[in-house]
Amino acid sequence: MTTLYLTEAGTVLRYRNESLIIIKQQESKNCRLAEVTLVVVLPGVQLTDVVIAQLLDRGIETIFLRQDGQFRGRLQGHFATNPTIRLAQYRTVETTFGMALAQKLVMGKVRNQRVILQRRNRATGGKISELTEAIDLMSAYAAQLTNTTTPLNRNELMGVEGICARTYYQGLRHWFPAQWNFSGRNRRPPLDPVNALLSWGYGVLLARVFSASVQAGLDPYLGFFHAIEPYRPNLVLDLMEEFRPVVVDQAVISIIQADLLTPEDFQPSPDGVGIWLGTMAKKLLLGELERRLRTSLLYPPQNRQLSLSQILLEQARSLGRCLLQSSLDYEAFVIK
Amino acid sequence: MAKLYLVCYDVPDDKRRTKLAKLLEQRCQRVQYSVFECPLDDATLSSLLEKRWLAVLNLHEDNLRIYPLDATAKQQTRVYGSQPPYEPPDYLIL
Repeated sequence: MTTLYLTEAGTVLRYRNESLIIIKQQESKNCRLAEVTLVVVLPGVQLTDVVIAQLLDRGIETIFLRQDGQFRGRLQGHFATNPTIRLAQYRTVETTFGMALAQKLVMGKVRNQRVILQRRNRATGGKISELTEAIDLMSAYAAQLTNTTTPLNRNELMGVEGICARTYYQGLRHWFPAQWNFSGRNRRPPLDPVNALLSWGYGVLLARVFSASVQAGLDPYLGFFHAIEPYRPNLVLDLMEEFRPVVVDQAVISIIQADLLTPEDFQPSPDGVGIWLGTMAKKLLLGELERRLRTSLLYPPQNRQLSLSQILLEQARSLGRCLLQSSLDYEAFVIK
Repeated sequence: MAKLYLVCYDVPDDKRRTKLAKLLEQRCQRVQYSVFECPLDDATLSSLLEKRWLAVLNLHEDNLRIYPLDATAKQQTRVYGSQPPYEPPDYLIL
């Protein structure tokens, strides 16, 4: 089944004979709606009213992103809601059980981040002492997170998460050749190409996890770790934590390692402060993210191979079940 | 599970032929003027599509043939001068 990414401004989408007709300057391309499962739309792409109606009626997931890759919104037709899951979610937020869940989600992220650094450490034969130190430090913090019977409070948890994130992103430097000038994470706006790629990737991941949470019957806006800040899809931010390193960071590493991009594929943002991806960089990143999301991995709870995008949905469903049963069965998806 | 069907027709009447071709194009990939490859499952084909295709035809003059291709047939297919047997792409970045 096909994921359709519409990246170029000036593209027009029409509907004819059960197909999407995608018109870009001189060329036009057909895409049968029966084969489309997901449409990702970037700014400057026009959808006719008939196309929008078709997408809504067929329940084809349609996601809109901003120019900097941030999630803008999605089309939502009728969908099956499960009020009991939402009620369970509302009852859990701000409870000790909710904090224990938050802690599990954070631990999933820290463990996966650590794996990414370990892969580099193995590849470099453990010769980079900063990398080894970062890995050890993260192990120590991960150990603090394993006790969920008396979970950390939100401030403590945020502290641990913050230290691990800083350590991790500094360690990540050793994945990127020096000319990329990556010295750690910055955002809003990202100040260097690698950060721009990461921000873009997190935007796409957020959009995908958003759909997964809606499909699983969860309220995307009410979280456990990223609790209740308004205008922010807090639960989506929670759920995507364990997938950031697995999907996005790994995709960015692959692209940079493949040596396909040069600094010319990036441009200053219109305000002149940040860095944006050019069309080529965008397409490459989307292709790599798509390949990652279609990679099959062993999903231990079901003991079978699932693609990462299926695992996203299964993890959202698993969270829903934990909430309904008030059990701490949720296990983050951890790579090896 | 979707398998691949090969659909071909002989329809002498222009109007009926155009109508059938348009219907086929909704779900199938045209590979020659009157030959289509369709990634379909049995249920969709028999319950939804076949009836609509047949409704267009006059079976005294026209004919429609639908051959199932199994996985091995697809692999063994030899194609010259055009694309290999149709498969919907995983993703399209446009």
